[in-house]
Amino acid sequence: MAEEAQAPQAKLTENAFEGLPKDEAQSAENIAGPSLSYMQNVWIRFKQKTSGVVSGIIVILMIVIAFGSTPFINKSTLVKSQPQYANLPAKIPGVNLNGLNGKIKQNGEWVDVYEKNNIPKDKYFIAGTDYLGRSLAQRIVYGTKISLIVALVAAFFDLTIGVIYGVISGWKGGAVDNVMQRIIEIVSSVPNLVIVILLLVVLKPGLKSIIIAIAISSWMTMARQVRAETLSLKNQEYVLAARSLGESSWKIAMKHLIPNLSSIIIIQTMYTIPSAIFFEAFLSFIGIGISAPETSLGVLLNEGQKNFQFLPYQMWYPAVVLCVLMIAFNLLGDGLRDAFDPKSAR
Amino acid sequence: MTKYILKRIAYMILTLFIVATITFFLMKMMPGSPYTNEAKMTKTQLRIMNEQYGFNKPLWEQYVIYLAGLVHGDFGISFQYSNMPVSQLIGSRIGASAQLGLQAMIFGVFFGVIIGAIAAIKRNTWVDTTATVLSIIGKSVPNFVLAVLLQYYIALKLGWFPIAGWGTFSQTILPTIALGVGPLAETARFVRTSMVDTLTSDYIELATAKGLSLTQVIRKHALRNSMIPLVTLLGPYTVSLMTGSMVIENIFNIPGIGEQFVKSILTNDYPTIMGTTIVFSLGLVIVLLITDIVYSLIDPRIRLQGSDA
Repeated sequence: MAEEAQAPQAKLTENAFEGLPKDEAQSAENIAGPSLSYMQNVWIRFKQKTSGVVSGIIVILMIVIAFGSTPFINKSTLVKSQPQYANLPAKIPGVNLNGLNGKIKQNGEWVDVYEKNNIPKDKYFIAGTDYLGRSLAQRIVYGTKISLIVALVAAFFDLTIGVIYGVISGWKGGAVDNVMQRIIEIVSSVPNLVIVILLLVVLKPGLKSIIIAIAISSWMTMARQVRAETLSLKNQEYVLAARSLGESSWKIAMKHLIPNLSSIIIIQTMYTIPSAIFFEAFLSFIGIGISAPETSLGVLLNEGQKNFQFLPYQMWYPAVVLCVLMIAFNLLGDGLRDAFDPKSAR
Repeated sequence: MTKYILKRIAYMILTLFIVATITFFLMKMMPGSPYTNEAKMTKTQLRIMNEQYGFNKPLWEQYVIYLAGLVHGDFGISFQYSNMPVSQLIGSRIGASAQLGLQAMIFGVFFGVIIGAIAAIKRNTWVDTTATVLSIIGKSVPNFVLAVLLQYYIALKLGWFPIAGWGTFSQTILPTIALGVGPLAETARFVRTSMVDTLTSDYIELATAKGLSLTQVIRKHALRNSMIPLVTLLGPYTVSLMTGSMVIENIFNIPGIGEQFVKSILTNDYPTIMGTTIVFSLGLVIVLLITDIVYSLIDPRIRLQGSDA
């Protein structure tokens, strides 16, 4: 073996080596780029993924439109019914595309409903109207706002109850942790939705009840994940150092734990949001969520579904908006996950 | 192991007890009475009705009677269907729901595993991209929207399957798809991630190095190990199937307990609401128990953790 391993010796003379100028040798040791903070790195990785960026822009746009519309679209404009304009399809001036020019397919032929019903020439609805002549576009914007409020509320409870519960449970450890984990274990093996539905039956259906329902049901996964991460973080040297220097638990939590938990917290929040949006739409769809005079995407879907055969646009528009909202939040969540945890992007 | 299972069962009973208690008191807090529809009743009639349903007894006694009934599988009598016992009502409907749920679960997991595995093997090709896009869409489109679209376009327009109803196998296909797409998308994403992890591990490299063909590597080594963690998703799937069943059964007019649950909520039929809640919880708790047991059987590391906790 030893004989075989011996490679033929190369004959090296002094000329084989070339001396480098001094500064070049040093520059090899230099750190080329500016050193980036963790968040800067995350931002760079996030920007690389188109789907995440586009979703982020869509989400921001929806938030701006939905909340910016409040002065024009609110509870008082929502209840205004105009029976003379009932069930009109979409009409956008200047667009001559069947389905968007006031025409709808009836018995296989495109009929201009606006002309048929003697609607004034300058009157148009960009997404049509519902069975009471209310502008569908307005109702969809309002419904989107409700969905976004629900999303914000779910995120809020995730960030407060979920994070605090998880950090305390993980940090305290021992008996406290044990009890808190048993509570979560029991609460999460109760089918949340069923209890929440009962709660909605007892309380008055509406946004407030849905918010309470979300408060009860949304934070458990977050609490579990934060606890697991806290358990491993609290044995790190820097936490030990902070402890031995006499930092209070509160300060350690705020200065050392939360920043290091931030990636998990953000990712989990992004996953809570679409399920909360689905939840509201679902409850409203079966008729125990948001109720008149307010409206939400779930309510619109339920109304649209009844007339789907004849007026498909009444269901398609809210359905598309809801799906886009869900897809955007899901993709944004994926994008953030890959940005925070590059290992997951493979 | 026996100790572990016993512990789990104790938790299970505790959970059910809590659900039963919450349900009972929530129902008692509910505004309105089941007789509000019959506003013309006299005082005497009301008293007789209250006596018949046991509403004249103090609350704690009603609670004890209710719990005692539960232990015997007695959920009380439905207000909605003239004096039909709730247990009988649920019993006659649970079959359809269970079949639909099981079919959707099998459909979702089966195709989810296939799609996820293919996406992982063909990682970073157009196949992978397509699978990812599809699973994002499947995850994002609410199942009730999908159900309505399937019903209209596939059943009504194309006429491939019956529009609604329950009984023949072809009637179960559309609801199964509508209900199963969520789990399918979730499974596909999960299996892909897990499989990518597995495929880059050392023992797969070894298996390839010792000359196994790609199919053998996948079938014997990669797929099995990637599917183990999938067991943990059974619980969440069951929850989503139960949730889904409430609307899907409504849309496709299937006589299941999900549809029954929504109907009884809209008619203030307390005993049915309570009974259905208990049945849903029981179903979930049993699935969670099976999940834990199966998982600890196939992955010994979990068992060790469980026994020292």
